[in-house]
Amino acid sequence: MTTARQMRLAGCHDCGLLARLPHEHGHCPRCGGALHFRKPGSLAKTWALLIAAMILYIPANTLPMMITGSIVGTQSDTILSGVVYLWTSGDWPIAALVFFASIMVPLLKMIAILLLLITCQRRSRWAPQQRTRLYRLVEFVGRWSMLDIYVVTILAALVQVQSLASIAAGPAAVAFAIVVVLTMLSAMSFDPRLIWDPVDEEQEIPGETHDANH
Amino acid sequence: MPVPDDRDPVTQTQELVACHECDQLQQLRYPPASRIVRCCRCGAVVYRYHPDALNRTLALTTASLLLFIVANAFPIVAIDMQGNVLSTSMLGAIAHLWTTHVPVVAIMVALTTLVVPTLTMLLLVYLLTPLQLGYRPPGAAELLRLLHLSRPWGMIEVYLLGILVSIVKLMAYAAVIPGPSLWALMLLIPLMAAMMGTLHPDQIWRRLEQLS
Ligand SMILES: [Zn+2]
Ligand SMILES: [Zn+2]
Repeated sequence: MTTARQMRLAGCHDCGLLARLPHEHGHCPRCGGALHFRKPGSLAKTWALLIAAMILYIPANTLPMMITGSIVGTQSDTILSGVVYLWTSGDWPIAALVFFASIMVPLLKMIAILLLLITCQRRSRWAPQQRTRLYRLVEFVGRWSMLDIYVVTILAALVQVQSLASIAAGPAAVAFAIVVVLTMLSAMSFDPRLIWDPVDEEQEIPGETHDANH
Repeated sequence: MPVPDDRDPVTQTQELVACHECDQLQQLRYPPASRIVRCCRCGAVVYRYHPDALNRTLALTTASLLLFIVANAFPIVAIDMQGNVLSTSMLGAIAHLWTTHVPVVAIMVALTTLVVPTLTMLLLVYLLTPLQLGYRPPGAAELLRLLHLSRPWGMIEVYLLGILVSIVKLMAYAAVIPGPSLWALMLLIPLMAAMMGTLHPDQIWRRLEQLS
């Protein structure tokens, strides 16, 4: 088993070309994009974005997402109380959908990135294939968290009957939108090849001189 | 420009490929024998290939662009609330967020449902039309990289699901009348999925290289 880095080759992030890379950094001969063996500062960037997302996840869930005004008065709903309301009013498939997309997906996504970060930092050789799959899942599923933001967008624009009924987006919408962006950026800055690096280093013959790690 | 039968074993070449997810080097045939070739170690997709990818992508993009214009020109949905008929369009919903103290959310919604999808489709038309006619469009490398960067931020399909959830929520309080934009979006989603499915940037890069 040989990796591209061991042969001093690097795959371009932007166009996929495999190019010779004599130094640590260079430029892709095909598209001109930055070329490196691994995304530079991947773990630090991913950590920073993840921690920021985790902090903002708190206001996103405790502040009101939607403020409903009616003749009876105004009512503030957090994401969770909105789900509970949907559940009790009998719309349980929609309640489950919103619960999954808005609460479970961001939470599981952050836990998954955390797991990837900790195992990579400890240079774990545990289940690389499953962890790569987890990374792929995180990348794929992240966008669906925008669901509740879009629901509020539509409802707020539509329900504007003076004094009778009105819906407005609450401060949690801002926090939540930023959480989605931060978790997506966090997943993008993670380099899945870091999962495999400890596995590949173990397979090299001990004591043999090689310059693959410089 | 005639499309040669790329899959002829005689014209196939061996090339060295690195998996972008585990860095595994592997010797593969190009053009590949199947539509999707996966990494032998981690299962990541290393090749997506279609003999007529550029033509198909261009056709699907043109159709998507027309539907997207329809989706933006008409209201998405209207409600009848005790005699008050209210409706909103995609642009109207964004404008409303902008004017009601949540500009950050307005920018996010505008980027993911309007700017990025429009940019993706226009870039594809701009890049693929000249390529099919046999010449290299100016700024191709930069624009193709821009396309690659913006791709994850287009979220039309999530938006459609959001609209459907809103409709279910509203049905308890008002009569809901779906607008032409909703039907356009419902047609647009499978088209855009097909467009993204046949869009193989690697094949565009190779065509660009052939022409330079
Ligand atoms: Zn490149
Ligand atoms: Zn791989």
